[in-house]
Amino acid sequence: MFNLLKSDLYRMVHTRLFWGFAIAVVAVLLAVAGVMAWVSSEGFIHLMEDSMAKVANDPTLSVEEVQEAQADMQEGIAELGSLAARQLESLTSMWGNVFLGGGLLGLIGSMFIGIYLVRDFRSGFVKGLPMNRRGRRNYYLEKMLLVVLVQGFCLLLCAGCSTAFMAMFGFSYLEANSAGDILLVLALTWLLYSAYGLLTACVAWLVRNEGGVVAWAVVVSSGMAGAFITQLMLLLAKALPFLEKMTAWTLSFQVGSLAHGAQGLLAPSDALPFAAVTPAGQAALVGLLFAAVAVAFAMAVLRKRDVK
Amino acid sequence: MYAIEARGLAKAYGGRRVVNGFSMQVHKGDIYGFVGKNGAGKSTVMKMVTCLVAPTEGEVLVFGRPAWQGAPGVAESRVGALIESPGILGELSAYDNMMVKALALGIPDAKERSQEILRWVGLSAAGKKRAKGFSQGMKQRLGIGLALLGSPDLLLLDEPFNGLDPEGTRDLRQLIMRLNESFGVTVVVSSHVLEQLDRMVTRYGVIADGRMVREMTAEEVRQACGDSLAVRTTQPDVTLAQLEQRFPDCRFLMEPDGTIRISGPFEATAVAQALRAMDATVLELTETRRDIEEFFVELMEGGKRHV
Repeated sequence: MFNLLKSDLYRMVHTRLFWGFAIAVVAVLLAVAGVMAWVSSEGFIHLMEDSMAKVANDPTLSVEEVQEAQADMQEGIAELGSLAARQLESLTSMWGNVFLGGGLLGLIGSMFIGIYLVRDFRSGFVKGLPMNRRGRRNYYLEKMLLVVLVQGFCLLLCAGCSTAFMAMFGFSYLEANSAGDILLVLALTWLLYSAYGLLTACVAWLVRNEGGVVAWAVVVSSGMAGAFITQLMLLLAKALPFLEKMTAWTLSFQVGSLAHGAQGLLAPSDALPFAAVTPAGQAALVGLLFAAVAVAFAMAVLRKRDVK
Repeated sequence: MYAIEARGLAKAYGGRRVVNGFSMQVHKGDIYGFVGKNGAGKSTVMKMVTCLVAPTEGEVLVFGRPAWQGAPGVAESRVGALIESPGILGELSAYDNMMVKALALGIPDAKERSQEILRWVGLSAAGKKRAKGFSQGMKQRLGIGLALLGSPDLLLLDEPFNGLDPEGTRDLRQLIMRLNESFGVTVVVSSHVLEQLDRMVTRYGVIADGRMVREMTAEEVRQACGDSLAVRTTQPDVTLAQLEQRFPDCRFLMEPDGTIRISGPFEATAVAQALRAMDATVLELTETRRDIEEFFVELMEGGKRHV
């Protein structure tokens, strides 16, 4: 199995796909930090104030419309006040805002994994590997280990780059996270995104089609489908109250809870199904559950599929 | 012990059996020509041998062990295969393709082995170029190289001459023969290029509609082809015995419909005179020349005149 892992690591660093994704992630994170720096600059605030003045002097607008527009803009300027000082809440909440809440990490990790795994089948490369019982077991277990490692790499890349870029643009933090908080957030994020990655691997082995896995990554791994399902469950919870606590069993809900950073992860919460389990515990439970389901499905069903 | 022994193999896709009741025996050291029309089930059989596809029924033994189970302690790289597509990663160079597979198979001297195989298949010069831009022939050669990487004892090649120019075809044929003669590699080659098979194969298997029609040695095929005399009489068994006595240097084969096929150093007039002397009632006496292609087409179509 470790031979296959060595082979995959060699292959990854020699493919443009890997470096393309890595460069894209770095570019997006740099752009995010750059945009945040720009909107927190004095120039941007002046721009907003100029816009307010233009709105006030616009003869085509009624008094009510002018008042409404100016109120919106003043609210925006007030929100930018904390940014103007280039101070963010905490390191972990910055990670949550930059690459967790928006689905960036879920999207890139899953998309890379999906495309990479499908290529084995699309190219016919897998036909040259041992595919008897032992060969298949090794192949699928190794790929799942690779998925976990890739998600870990993506997480470290995102965390490292976003931290460095924010520091580069002069951002600091109001609250200092302890090393334990940082490790807890990183570990839970790794676990949840490993679960997403393993589900993506299952989809890749099921459909064996790049279009299919890209669609999955965009719709599901980014958290889009999960957010929709959570909203739907909350809506239905008015008629079926048990659904409200069921939302805590979805991956997207747990990623959403991590998007707030380390704050409150170890404090008991009434919103969770079990009173004794903290949000961190619930996130770990959900991550492990989904990962276990994916591994079991891959080993019990997908491993036995014919390679045509 | 056989290199491959298939017993009662069947494979169904959506209720349709593409291979049914298929049996095959490939001896160790054979160059086995696997012949059949498109869609006859050749690739499916090869996929079952390499465990890419699980049989619906039956069993495949590779070197005496169930293929699916594998042999404990024996390297799985004993079987090299090129089935349908060359199986190359287009975004990588030829050398990197070799390295990726060599590492996956756990070959200790991966770098040296990769370079050696690239030399064997004539791709040393193109080793650093991305495989995506290769011609079909180069891709095919790289695919063959990948199949050879694990120093296999059994090599399965599905249409390996596809896309190769005459020089490449000759080189591949010579490579297969060298692997067989020098290293004792058992090779199963499926191909429509019967002329190439005829030059190297030691045994043939003919598949039609998912069933093995016939397995025979290359010598038997040669006997069945070439100039021959077909004799049909009312008492074929008696006629055969008498002709064998009169023409001891000739080869005689009785076809399922009772036709006696005579090959070797015969003279048609002498045979005709002998038949007259034997008072045999002759229904047919035809001198024919069959080439290998015609012979296999007859077999694949279930022709009655097969030997």
